[in-house]
Amino acid sequence: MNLGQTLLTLGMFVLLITSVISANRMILQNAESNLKTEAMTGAATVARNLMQEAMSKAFDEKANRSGKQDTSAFTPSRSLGPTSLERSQVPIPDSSFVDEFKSKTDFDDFDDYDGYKRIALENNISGFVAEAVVFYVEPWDPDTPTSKRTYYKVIKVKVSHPLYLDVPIEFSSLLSY
Amino acid sequence: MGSSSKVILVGATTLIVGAYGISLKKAESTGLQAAVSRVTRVQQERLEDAALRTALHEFVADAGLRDKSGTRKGLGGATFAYNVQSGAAPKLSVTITEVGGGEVTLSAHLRKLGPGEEVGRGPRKIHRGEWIVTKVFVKRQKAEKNNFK
Repeated sequence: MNLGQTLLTLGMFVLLITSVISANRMILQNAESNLKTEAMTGAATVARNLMQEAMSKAFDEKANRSGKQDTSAFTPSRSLGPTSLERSQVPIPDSSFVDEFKSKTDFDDFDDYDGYKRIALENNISGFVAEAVVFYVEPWDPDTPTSKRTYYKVIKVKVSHPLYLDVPIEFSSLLSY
Repeated sequence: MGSSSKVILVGATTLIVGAYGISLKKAESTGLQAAVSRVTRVQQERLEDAALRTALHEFVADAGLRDKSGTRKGLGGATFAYNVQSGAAPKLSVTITEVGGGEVTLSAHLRKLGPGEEVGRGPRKIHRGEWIVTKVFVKRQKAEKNNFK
């Protein structure tokens, strides 16, 4: 083997070592990226579950199912949130670590979820934090909270994860009476 | 093993490792794209539901007696078009432009509550006042060119 061939072989070995190192780095990055991807879909599921749970409840603590009530019958906007009894029954943050989420059984209306927080597990990733706020909106401007009582309430759910989500993901949903 | 064989072996191995790295990156980006689609889908579902609920307000405002159409601001800041068709079998349709340029049209059949009847509860139960949505038909049109990245 002459000098040229030796240098060429050495060069190729350097290239091989570099590519093996970068492949290792890529495998690690890929694993991390996979977790982030799983976390994104998990966050969507956590938010969806929470929004659907809230939307299956009554529009308001004082709302009946006739569809004929005036907005003056509903809870004033400054009083949205759980009652003191519900507050004592549902711990914040709520968790399904031991049993089902307490909110499922102990909250009875949509705005009970105002200020609610839960720690959830999804896609085998634990530690999702879902926080919700509920407010009245006008039908022509569903993104802006209003202090008036209306026939529309919006729930905004923010899901974050301390490790796998760089930025929290926000979802919103609207319920009408 | 001859020196040229070594060069070829090392070169081939490097090539394989490189190709593996590229395929890993591709899989990563496909996975991420799928996750973003899933997140968008969940939000889009909620926006469609909200659009139908707020458009129903237009129908109820006139007690379902007048045909009308227009645009409205939907949840998330986007605008959508609505069309109210009054009559014995009232209908409400809502057209929303999705992320990526696709379009979804929701056509809803409406009914007024009967005497003593109550509104249903559940994430899929859409009503406003005494008017309830009985059926929803969804028609999706893909964007001509997918702008989703």
